[in-house]
Amino acid sequence: MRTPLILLLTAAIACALPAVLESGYFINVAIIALIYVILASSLDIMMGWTGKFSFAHAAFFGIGAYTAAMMQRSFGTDLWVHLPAGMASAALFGVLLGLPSLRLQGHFLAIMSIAFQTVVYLVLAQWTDVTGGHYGLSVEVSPELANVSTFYFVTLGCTLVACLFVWFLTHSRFGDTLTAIRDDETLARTIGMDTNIVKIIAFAISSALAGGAGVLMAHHIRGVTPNDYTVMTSATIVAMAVLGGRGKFWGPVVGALILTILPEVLSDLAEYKHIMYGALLIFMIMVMPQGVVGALAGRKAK
Amino acid sequence: MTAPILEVRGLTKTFAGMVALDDLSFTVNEGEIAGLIGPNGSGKSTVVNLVSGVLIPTSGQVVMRGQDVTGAASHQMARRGVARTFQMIRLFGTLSVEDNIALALQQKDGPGYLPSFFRTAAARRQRAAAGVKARDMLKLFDLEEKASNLASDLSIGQRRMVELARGLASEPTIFILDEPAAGLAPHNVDRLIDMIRRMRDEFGVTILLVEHVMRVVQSVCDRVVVLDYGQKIADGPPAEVVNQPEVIEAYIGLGRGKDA
Repeated sequence: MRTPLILLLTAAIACALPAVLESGYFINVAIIALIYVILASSLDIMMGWTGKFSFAHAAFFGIGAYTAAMMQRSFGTDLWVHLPAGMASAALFGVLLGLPSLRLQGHFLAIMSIAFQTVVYLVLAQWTDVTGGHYGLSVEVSPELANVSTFYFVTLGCTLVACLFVWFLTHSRFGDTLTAIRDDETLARTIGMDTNIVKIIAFAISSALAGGAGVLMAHHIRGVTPNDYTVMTSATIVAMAVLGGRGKFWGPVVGALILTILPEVLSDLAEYKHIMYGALLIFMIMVMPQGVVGALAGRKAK
Repeated sequence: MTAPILEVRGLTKTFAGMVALDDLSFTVNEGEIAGLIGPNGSGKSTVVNLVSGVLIPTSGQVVMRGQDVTGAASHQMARRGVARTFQMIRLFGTLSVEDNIALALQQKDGPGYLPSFFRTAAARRQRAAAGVKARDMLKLFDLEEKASNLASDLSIGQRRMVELARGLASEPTIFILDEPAAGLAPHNVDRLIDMIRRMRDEFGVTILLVEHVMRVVQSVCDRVVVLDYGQKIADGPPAEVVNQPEVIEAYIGLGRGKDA
């Protein structure tokens, strides 16, 4: 139970950020960083704990964002309605992708997920009547959330809840079952685990959290465009979890913070961002497959 | 007489036309240590996979305690009390030895997913009880000092014992041991024989032992079923079975077949 306490403490300290950072620019970066913390942590339920690689996380991120934009256009709803709705629709699509693909072994889920990611992107970009095509849709934020500091606090609260949820989930019997599936799925079934159901539920939860992150993103940048939800975004989220350390609570959190803040610090090199992510991913998998947090924990254990 | 623990009726399995198992019938009674032997490729592993739900039979039935369970998935078979070990030992490598066993026995006695998520008092108590029971099991197998080691750090002999402890902890209706002596050093084989006997004598576990090593079969089995080319060629006490000419011919080899 130490980790949730440290998490609460960290969140409390993070509350002071808007007071310290005078410029709205840095608060904007902090909001994006928090949204990516949700994305990387939720992806890691599948990737780190269950051992199933998915390159479709940005698709669920996008499904959540577009759910918010389209609901607002049709019904004039606000963030508090969009959050549960975006999570539910992302979870639904998660189950739809998971039902056929989670039965597949090895790399087939990864391949299926790339296909799904591509289809979702194409639908968002091409079905202009519904999604607004390449121009996307705009999202308006209700007046009480319009202040960037207020929105920061909302995002921080959501991130805290999401992270606590992931910790409690992975440190419960459900998490033990995920670990068992990762280590040896045949054995997991042999001792009585219904692995197919568990994988579907885990995938739905992972997708729902990504959908929630998408709703926040849509409100933060006041709109949705398909280019924010491409396979490159998915690969970035994968890179965050790998860099930080898969299957460790702090791994994806640290990875997401590094990979959102670093490009801002090195803004001159921002054009080469994806090249650096690619190189970093290869470097990490070859030299430090357990990630930064994993390597630090390993050193401490010795 | 009560129904046998396991009854296999006319079990047939073909793989793309190749007959791996041909109309096999046998029973395992309560409290019995039944052996299943036969040369390589005789269909032993197919029997294990059919009874544990990994494979679905082409025809025939698997009946447990009088209930037809043919075609049930392996997690369903586990819930009906089928525990097994693997020829190539399987343990959860990134979990501790204790957790490997605690995880298996929580399938029956563990907290539900929701109470466990919310860490209710009852869920924490059940989780702690699983840990205690797992350590008790390890004590029985002389592995209590290894409880917090990673399962992947143990020697093959120790890993085999953890597999036995895992199955025994789940209080199985039938415990299937798939070539448990494979890869073990002679002194570990002695220990294995001892533990198989104790599981039956002290815990009343019914055991189906699939084995290659005759020494193990002859010293622990009450009854032996012999397979050759997917067919049953003998069924009886080990001392009798090993003297039957067909068995010597098929299993032990032609060299001694001439003498018989």
